[in-house]
Amino acid sequence: MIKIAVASGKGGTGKTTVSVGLARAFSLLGKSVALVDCDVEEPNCHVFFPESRAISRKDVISLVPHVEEDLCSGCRRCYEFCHFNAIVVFDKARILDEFCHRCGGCNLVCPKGAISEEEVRIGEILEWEVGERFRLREGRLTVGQANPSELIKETKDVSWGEVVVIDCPPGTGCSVMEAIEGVDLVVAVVEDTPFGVHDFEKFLLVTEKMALDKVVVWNRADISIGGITKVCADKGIDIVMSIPFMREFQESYARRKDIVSFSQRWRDEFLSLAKVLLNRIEENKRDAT
Amino acid sequence: MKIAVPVLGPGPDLMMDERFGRARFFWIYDSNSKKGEVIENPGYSAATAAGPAAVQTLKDAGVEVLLAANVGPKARDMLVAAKIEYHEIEPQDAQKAVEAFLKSRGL
Repeated sequence: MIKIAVASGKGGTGKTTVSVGLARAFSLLGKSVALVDCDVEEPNCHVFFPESRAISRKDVISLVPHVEEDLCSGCRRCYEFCHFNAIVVFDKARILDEFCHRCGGCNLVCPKGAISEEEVRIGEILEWEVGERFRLREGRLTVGQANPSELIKETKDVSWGEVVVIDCPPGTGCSVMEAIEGVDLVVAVVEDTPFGVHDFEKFLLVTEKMALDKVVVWNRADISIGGITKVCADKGIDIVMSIPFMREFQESYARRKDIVSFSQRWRDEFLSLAKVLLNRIEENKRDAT
Repeated sequence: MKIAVPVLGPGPDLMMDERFGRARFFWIYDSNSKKGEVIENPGYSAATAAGPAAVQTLKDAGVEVLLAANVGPKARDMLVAAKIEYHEIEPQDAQKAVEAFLKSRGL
Protein backbone atom coordinates (compact mmCIF):
# COMPACT_ATOMS: atom_id res chain seq x y z
CA MET A 1 0.00 0.00 0.00
CA ILE A 2 1.33 3.43 -0.85
CA LYS A 3 -0.02 6.62 0.66
CA ILE A 4 -0.01 10.03 -0.98
CA ALA A 5 -1.18 13.15 0.83
CA VAL A 6 -2.47 16.11 -1.15
CA ALA A 7 -1.99 19.22 0.98
CA SER A 8 -1.44 22.93 0.53
CA GLY A 9 -0.80 25.38 3.30
CA LYS A 10 -3.15 27.99 1.89
CA GLY A 11 -6.79 27.02 1.45
CA GLY A 12 -8.58 26.99 -1.87
CA THR A 13 -5.54 26.14 -3.99
CA GLY A 14 -7.05 23.03 -5.58
CA LYS A 15 -6.35 20.14 -3.20
CA THR A 16 -9.64 18.42 -3.86
CA THR A 17 -9.38 18.86 -7.64
CA VAL A 18 -5.94 17.26 -7.60
CA SER A 19 -6.89 14.53 -5.09
CA VAL A 20 -9.92 13.46 -7.06
CA GLY A 21 -8.04 13.63 -10.38
CA LEU A 22 -5.16 11.59 -9.00
CA ALA A 23 -7.43 8.97 -7.45
CA ARG A 24 -9.24 8.56 -10.76
CA ALA A 25 -5.94 8.33 -12.63
CA PHE A 26 -4.57 5.62 -10.33
CA SER A 27 -7.80 3.75 -10.82
CA LEU A 28 -7.42 3.98 -14.61
CA LEU A 29 -3.90 2.60 -14.21
CA GLY A 30 -5.48 -0.52 -12.73
CA LYS A 31 -4.69 0.13 -9.08
CA SER A 32 -7.22 -0.40 -6.32
CA VAL A 33 -7.69 3.08 -4.89
CA ALA A 34 -8.92 4.50 -1.61
CA LEU A 35 -9.59 8.22 -1.80
CA VAL A 36 -9.65 9.49 1.78
CA ASP A 37 -11.18 12.87 2.53
CA CYS A 38 -9.44 14.12 5.68
CA ASP A 39 -10.64 17.70 5.27
CA VAL A 40 -13.11 16.76 7.97
CA GLU A 41 -14.39 20.25 8.67
CA GLU A 42 -15.72 20.55 5.16
CA PRO A 43 -15.27 17.32 3.23
CA ASN A 44 -16.34 17.61 -0.39
CA CYS A 45 -14.72 14.84 -2.45
CA HIS A 46 -18.11 13.09 -2.43
CA VAL A 47 -19.47 15.89 -4.61
CA PHE A 48 -17.65 14.33 -7.56
CA PHE A 49 -19.13 10.89 -7.15
CA PRO A 50 -22.92 11.30 -7.23
CA GLU A 51 -23.41 7.74 -8.47
CA SER A 52 -21.36 6.00 -5.81
CA ARG A 53 -22.94 3.48 -3.44
CA ALA A 54 -22.81 4.02 0.34
CA ILE A 55 -21.28 0.97 2.03
CA SER A 56 -20.67 1.94 5.64
CA ARG A 57 -21.00 4.57 8.33
CA LYS A 58 -19.64 4.63 11.86
CA ASP A 59 -19.48 7.08 14.73
CA VAL A 60 -16.15 8.22 16.10
CA ILE A 61 -16.11 8.62 19.85
CA SER A 62 -13.66 10.61 21.92
CA LEU A 63 -13.08 10.75 25.65
CA VAL A 64 -13.57 14.21 27.09
CA PRO A 65 -12.28 14.91 30.60
CA HIS A 66 -14.45 16.33 33.40
CA VAL A 67 -13.53 17.51 36.87
CA GLU A 68 -15.39 16.10 39.85
CA GLU A 69 -15.32 19.29 41.95
CA ASP A 70 -15.89 17.57 45.28
CA LEU A 71 -12.76 15.48 44.78
CA CYS A 72 -10.51 18.23 43.35
CA SER A 73 -8.01 19.62 45.87
CA GLY A 74 -6.76 22.37 43.55
CA CYS A 75 -3.23 20.95 43.59
CA ARG A 76 -2.62 22.18 40.00
CA ARG A 77 -0.86 19.08 38.77
CA CYS A 78 -3.22 18.79 35.81
CA TYR A 79 -2.74 22.49 35.08
CA GLU A 80 1.03 22.10 35.07
CA PHE A 81 0.81 19.03 32.86
CA CYS A 82 -1.47 20.46 30.17
CA HIS A 83 0.50 21.84 27.21
CA PHE A 84 -2.50 23.49 25.62
CA ASN A 85 -3.63 25.81 28.41
CA ALA A 86 -6.84 23.82 28.44
CA ILE A 87 -6.98 23.82 32.25
CA VAL A 88 -7.27 26.73 34.64
CA VAL A 89 -7.36 26.43 38.42
CA PHE A 90 -9.30 28.98 40.44
CA ASP A 91 -9.52 26.99 43.72
CA LYS A 92 -10.74 24.00 41.68
CA ALA A 93 -9.53 22.78 38.29
CA ARG A 94 -11.67 23.66 35.31
CA ILE A 95 -11.23 22.11 31.87
CA LEU A 96 -11.72 24.28 28.79
CA ASP A 97 -13.14 21.78 26.36
CA GLU A 98 -12.43 23.73 23.18
CA PHE A 99 -8.68 23.74 23.85
CA CYS A 100 -8.45 20.15 25.08
CA HIS A 101 -6.55 17.77 22.79
CA ARG A 102 -7.89 14.68 24.62
CA CYS A 103 -4.45 13.40 25.55
CA GLY A 104 -5.77 12.00 28.82
CA GLY A 105 -2.77 13.35 30.73
CA CYS A 106 -4.79 15.28 33.31
CA ASN A 107 -6.55 12.08 34.28
CA LEU A 108 -3.23 10.26 34.69
CA VAL A 109 -1.56 12.90 36.85
CA CYS A 110 -4.51 13.67 39.14
CA PRO A 111 -3.65 12.25 42.59
CA LYS A 112 -7.28 12.43 43.77
CA GLY A 113 -8.98 10.64 40.90
CA ALA A 114 -11.04 13.78 40.41
CA ILE A 115 -10.98 13.61 36.62
CA SER A 116 -13.32 11.32 34.76
CA GLU A 117 -13.69 10.88 31.02
CA GLU A 118 -16.97 11.01 29.22
CA GLU A 119 -17.68 9.67 25.73
CA VAL A 120 -18.52 12.30 23.14
CA ARG A 121 -19.31 11.72 19.47
CA ILE A 122 -16.82 13.88 17.59
CA GLY A 123 -17.72 12.79 14.10
CA GLU A 124 -18.42 9.99 11.71
CA ILE A 125 -16.68 8.09 8.95
CA LEU A 126 -18.55 7.24 5.77
CA GLU A 127 -17.52 4.94 2.95
CA TRP A 128 -18.76 4.66 -0.60
CA GLU A 129 -17.99 2.34 -3.45
CA VAL A 130 -17.18 4.46 -6.50
CA GLY A 131 -16.19 1.51 -8.67
CA GLU A 132 -15.33 -2.11 -8.13
CA ARG A 133 -11.80 -1.23 -7.05
CA PHE A 134 -12.29 2.40 -6.09
CA ARG A 135 -13.57 3.53 -2.71
CA LEU A 136 -14.16 6.89 -1.12
CA ARG A 137 -13.81 7.28 2.65
CA GLU A 138 -14.76 10.52 4.36
CA GLY A 139 -14.40 11.89 7.88
CA ARG A 140 -17.11 14.33 8.94
CA LEU A 141 -16.56 16.39 12.08
CA THR A 142 -19.56 17.00 14.32
CA VAL A 143 -20.57 20.66 14.21
CA GLY A 144 -19.24 22.42 17.31
CA GLN A 145 -16.24 20.13 17.78
CA ALA A 146 -12.99 22.08 17.72
CA ASN A 147 -10.29 19.40 17.46
CA PRO A 148 -10.34 17.31 14.30
CA SER A 149 -7.04 15.43 14.82
CA GLU A 150 -8.49 12.30 16.41
CA LEU A 151 -11.10 11.97 13.70
CA ILE A 152 -8.48 12.49 10.98
CA LYS A 153 -6.34 9.77 12.49
CA GLU A 154 -9.19 7.28 12.33
CA THR A 155 -10.32 8.40 8.90
CA LYS A 156 -6.90 7.78 7.36
CA ASP A 157 -6.56 4.41 9.03
CA VAL A 158 -7.49 2.47 5.88
CA SER A 159 -6.93 -1.22 5.46
CA TRP A 160 -7.93 -1.38 1.81
CA GLY A 161 -6.36 -0.18 -1.45
CA GLU A 162 -3.05 -0.40 -3.30
CA VAL A 163 -2.95 3.38 -3.49
CA VAL A 164 -4.37 5.68 -0.83
CA VAL A 165 -4.88 9.33 -1.78
CA ILE A 166 -5.48 11.62 1.20
CA ASP A 167 -7.19 14.97 0.65
CA CYS A 168 -5.81 17.03 3.55
CA PRO A 169 -7.24 20.00 5.42
CA PRO A 170 -5.58 23.35 4.63
CA GLY A 171 -3.08 25.05 6.92
CA THR A 172 -0.02 23.93 8.84
CA GLY A 173 -1.54 22.98 12.18
CA CYS A 174 -2.18 19.79 14.10
CA SER A 175 -4.86 18.53 11.73
CA VAL A 176 -2.55 18.77 8.69
CA MET A 177 0.31 17.11 10.55
CA GLU A 178 -2.02 14.28 11.50
CA ALA A 179 -3.16 13.92 7.88
CA ILE A 180 0.32 13.79 6.34
CA GLU A 181 2.02 11.77 9.06
CA GLY A 182 3.51 8.55 7.73
CA VAL A 183 2.68 9.06 4.04
CA ASP A 184 5.10 8.08 1.26
CA LEU A 185 4.79 11.38 -0.56
CA VAL A 186 3.23 14.81 -0.07
CA VAL A 187 1.80 16.60 -3.09
CA ALA A 188 1.66 20.31 -2.27
CA VAL A 189 -0.88 22.17 -4.38
CA VAL A 190 0.20 25.79 -4.51
CA GLU A 191 -0.60 29.10 -6.14
CA ASP A 192 1.86 31.87 -6.84
CA THR A 193 0.30 34.79 -4.96
CA PRO A 194 1.90 36.58 -1.99
CA PHE A 195 -0.44 34.76 0.39
CA GLY A 196 0.11 31.46 -1.46
CA VAL A 197 3.90 31.70 -1.33
CA HIS A 198 3.87 32.68 2.34
CA ASP A 199 1.72 29.70 3.31
CA PHE A 200 3.71 27.36 1.07
CA GLU A 201 6.91 28.30 2.89
CA LYS A 202 5.24 27.67 6.24
CA PHE A 203 4.00 24.34 4.94
CA LEU A 204 7.53 23.39 3.85
CA LEU A 205 8.76 23.92 7.41
CA VAL A 206 6.29 21.26 8.49
CA THR A 207 7.27 18.72 5.81
CA GLU A 208 10.96 19.34 6.53
CA LYS A 209 10.48 18.81 10.23
CA MET A 210 8.54 15.61 9.52
CA ALA A 211 11.15 14.51 6.96
CA LEU A 212 8.58 13.85 4.26
CA ASP A 213 9.33 13.76 0.53
CA LYS A 214 7.29 16.27 -1.42
CA VAL A 215 6.51 17.51 -4.92
CA VAL A 216 4.60 20.55 -6.10
CA VAL A 217 1.54 20.92 -8.30
CA TRP A 218 1.37 24.55 -9.34
CA ASN A 219 -2.23 25.63 -9.83
CA ARG A 220 -3.38 28.75 -11.69
CA ALA A 221 0.15 28.73 -13.04
CA ASP A 222 -0.46 31.58 -15.45
CA ILE A 223 -0.78 33.89 -12.45
CA SER A 224 2.70 34.40 -11.05
CA ILE A 225 4.76 36.67 -8.83
CA GLY A 226 7.82 34.47 -9.32
CA GLY A 227 7.72 33.20 -5.73
CA ILE A 228 6.90 29.52 -6.18
CA THR A 229 9.55 28.89 -8.85
CA LYS A 230 12.15 30.61 -6.68
CA VAL A 231 11.30 28.68 -3.52
CA CYS A 232 11.23 25.39 -5.45
CA ALA A 233 14.56 26.14 -7.16
CA ASP A 234 16.21 27.16 -3.88
CA LYS A 235 15.02 24.05 -2.09
CA GLY A 236 15.34 21.63 -5.00
CA ILE A 237 11.64 20.79 -5.04
CA ASP A 238 10.19 19.34 -8.27
CA ILE A 239 7.18 21.02 -9.84
CA VAL A 240 5.49 17.97 -11.31
CA MET A 241 2.45 19.64 -12.85
CA SER A 242 1.32 23.13 -13.81
CA ILE A 243 -2.36 23.84 -14.20
CA PRO A 244 -3.37 27.11 -15.89
CA PHE A 245 -6.48 29.03 -14.84
CA MET A 246 -8.90 27.23 -17.14
CA ARG A 247 -12.62 27.18 -17.69
CA GLU A 248 -12.58 23.37 -17.98
CA PHE A 249 -11.97 23.00 -14.26
CA GLN A 250 -14.89 25.20 -13.27
CA GLU A 251 -17.09 23.35 -15.75
CA SER A 252 -16.14 19.95 -14.41
CA TYR A 253 -16.89 21.15 -10.88
CA ALA A 254 -20.27 22.52 -11.92
CA ARG A 255 -21.13 19.17 -13.54
CA ARG A 256 -19.93 17.19 -10.52
CA LYS A 257 -17.30 15.44 -12.62
CA ASP A 258 -13.69 14.87 -11.76
CA ILE A 259 -11.37 16.56 -14.23
CA VAL A 260 -9.97 13.23 -15.45
CA SER A 261 -13.38 11.96 -16.50
CA PHE A 262 -14.30 15.36 -17.92
CA SER A 263 -11.34 16.27 -20.10
CA GLN A 264 -9.20 14.17 -22.42
CA ARG A 265 -6.26 16.53 -22.06
CA TRP A 266 -6.33 16.42 -18.26
CA ARG A 267 -6.94 12.70 -18.24
CA ASP A 268 -3.59 12.34 -20.04
CA GLU A 269 -1.90 14.86 -17.77
CA PHE A 270 -3.11 13.18 -14.58
CA LEU A 271 -2.21 9.72 -15.89
CA SER A 272 1.37 10.81 -16.47
CA LEU A 273 1.43 12.56 -13.10
CA ALA A 274 0.23 9.37 -11.41
CA LYS A 275 3.03 7.43 -13.09
CA VAL A 276 5.62 10.01 -12.06
CA LEU A 277 4.49 9.77 -8.45
CA LEU A 278 4.49 5.96 -8.45
CA ASN A 279 8.02 5.88 -9.87
CA ARG A 280 9.24 8.40 -7.38
CA ILE A 281 7.85 6.47 -4.42
CA GLU A 282 9.30 3.25 -5.78
CA GLU A 283 12.70 4.88 -6.16
CA ASN A 284 12.55 6.30 -2.65
CA LYS A 285 11.74 2.85 -1.29
CA ARG A 286 14.58 1.30 -3.28
CA ASP A 287 17.02 3.94 -2.01
CA ALA A 288 15.94 3.32 1.56
CA THR A 289 16.74 -0.39 1.43
CA MET B 1 -6.79 45.92 46.13
CA LYS B 2 -4.64 44.81 43.18
CA ILE B 3 -5.47 46.26 39.79
CA ALA B 4 -3.95 44.90 36.55
CA VAL B 5 -3.49 46.70 33.23
CA PRO B 6 -1.97 45.13 30.09
CA VAL B 7 1.00 47.28 29.00
CA LEU B 8 3.28 47.43 25.98
CA GLY B 9 6.63 47.55 27.77
CA PRO B 10 8.24 46.73 31.13
CA GLY B 11 8.33 50.45 32.07
CA PRO B 12 8.98 53.20 32.93
CA ASP B 13 6.46 54.16 30.20
CA LEU B 14 3.26 52.33 30.99
CA MET B 15 1.16 52.65 27.86
CA MET B 16 -1.72 50.21 27.69
CA ASP B 17 -1.54 47.33 25.24
CA GLU B 18 -4.81 47.18 23.31
CA ARG B 19 -4.80 43.41 23.62
CA PHE B 20 -5.36 41.48 26.81
CA GLY B 21 -4.52 37.77 26.34
CA ARG B 22 -1.69 38.51 23.94
CA ALA B 23 -0.28 41.52 25.79
CA ARG B 24 3.42 41.26 26.51
CA PHE B 25 3.28 42.55 30.09
CA PHE B 26 0.87 43.37 32.90
CA TRP B 27 1.31 46.27 35.24
CA ILE B 28 -0.12 45.35 38.63
CA TYR B 29 -0.80 48.16 41.07
CA ASP B 30 -1.51 47.49 44.71
CA SER B 31 -3.71 50.28 46.12
CA ASN B 32 -2.89 49.28 49.70
CA SER B 33 0.89 49.48 49.44
CA LYS B 34 0.63 52.09 46.62
CA LYS B 35 3.25 50.16 44.69
CA GLY B 36 3.20 48.82 41.18
CA GLU B 37 5.14 46.07 39.46
CA VAL B 38 5.36 44.77 35.89
CA ILE B 39 5.09 41.04 35.24
CA GLU B 40 5.41 39.14 31.99
CA ASN B 41 2.33 37.54 30.51
CA PRO B 42 3.01 33.92 29.58
CA GLY B 43 -0.09 34.06 27.36
CA TYR B 44 1.87 36.34 25.02
CA SER B 45 3.56 33.38 23.36
CA ALA B 46 1.04 30.64 24.13
CA ALA B 47 0.03 28.59 21.09
CA THR B 48 -3.58 28.46 22.20
CA ALA B 49 -5.83 29.78 24.95
CA ALA B 50 -3.81 32.94 25.61
CA GLY B 51 -6.82 34.62 27.23
CA PRO B 52 -7.50 31.91 29.84
CA ALA B 53 -3.74 31.62 30.54
CA ALA B 54 -3.57 35.38 31.14
CA VAL B 55 -6.52 35.20 33.54
CA GLN B 56 -4.79 32.40 35.44
CA THR B 57 -1.68 34.59 35.76
CA LEU B 58 -3.71 37.49 37.14
CA LYS B 59 -5.60 35.24 39.56
CA ASP B 60 -2.33 33.75 40.81
CA ALA B 61 -0.99 37.27 41.36
CA GLY B 62 -4.02 38.10 43.52
CA VAL B 63 -5.51 40.61 41.07
CA GLU B 64 -9.10 41.68 41.77
CA VAL B 65 -9.67 44.25 39.01
CA LEU B 66 -8.60 44.34 35.36
CA LEU B 67 -8.64 47.48 33.23
CA ALA B 68 -8.19 46.57 29.54
CA ALA B 69 -9.03 47.94 26.12
CA ASN B 70 -10.37 44.68 24.67
CA VAL B 71 -11.22 41.44 26.40
CA GLY B 72 -11.97 38.43 24.20
CA PRO B 73 -15.02 36.23 24.77
CA LYS B 74 -13.04 33.30 26.21
CA ALA B 75 -11.07 35.54 28.54
CA ARG B 76 -14.34 37.17 29.61
CA ASP B 77 -15.80 33.82 30.68
CA MET B 78 -12.64 33.06 32.60
CA LEU B 79 -12.64 36.45 34.35
CA VAL B 80 -16.17 35.80 35.54
CA ALA B 81 -15.20 32.31 36.73
CA ALA B 82 -12.14 33.70 38.51
CA LYS B 83 -14.27 36.46 40.05
CA ILE B 84 -12.04 39.21 38.65
CA GLU B 85 -13.92 42.43 37.99
CA TYR B 86 -13.05 43.92 34.59
CA HIS B 87 -13.68 47.15 32.71
CA GLU B 88 -13.09 47.84 29.05
CA ILE B 89 -11.68 51.35 28.62
CA GLU B 90 -9.97 53.50 26.00
CA PRO B 91 -6.23 52.71 25.60
CA GLN B 92 -4.28 55.25 27.66
CA ASP B 93 -1.48 55.62 30.15
CA ALA B 94 -1.94 52.77 32.64
CA GLN B 95 -1.22 54.92 35.69
CA LYS B 96 -3.84 57.46 34.66
CA ALA B 97 -6.35 54.67 34.06
CA VAL B 98 -5.77 53.26 37.53
CA GLU B 99 -5.96 56.73 39.13
CA ALA B 100 -9.28 57.37 37.40
CA PHE B 101 -10.60 53.99 38.46
CA LEU B 102 -9.62 54.51 42.12
CA LYS B 103 -11.12 57.98 42.09
CA SER B 104 -14.41 56.59 40.76
CA ARG B 105 -14.41 54.28 43.79
CA GLY B 106 -13.64 57.14 46.15
CA LEU B 107 -10.20 55.69 46.94
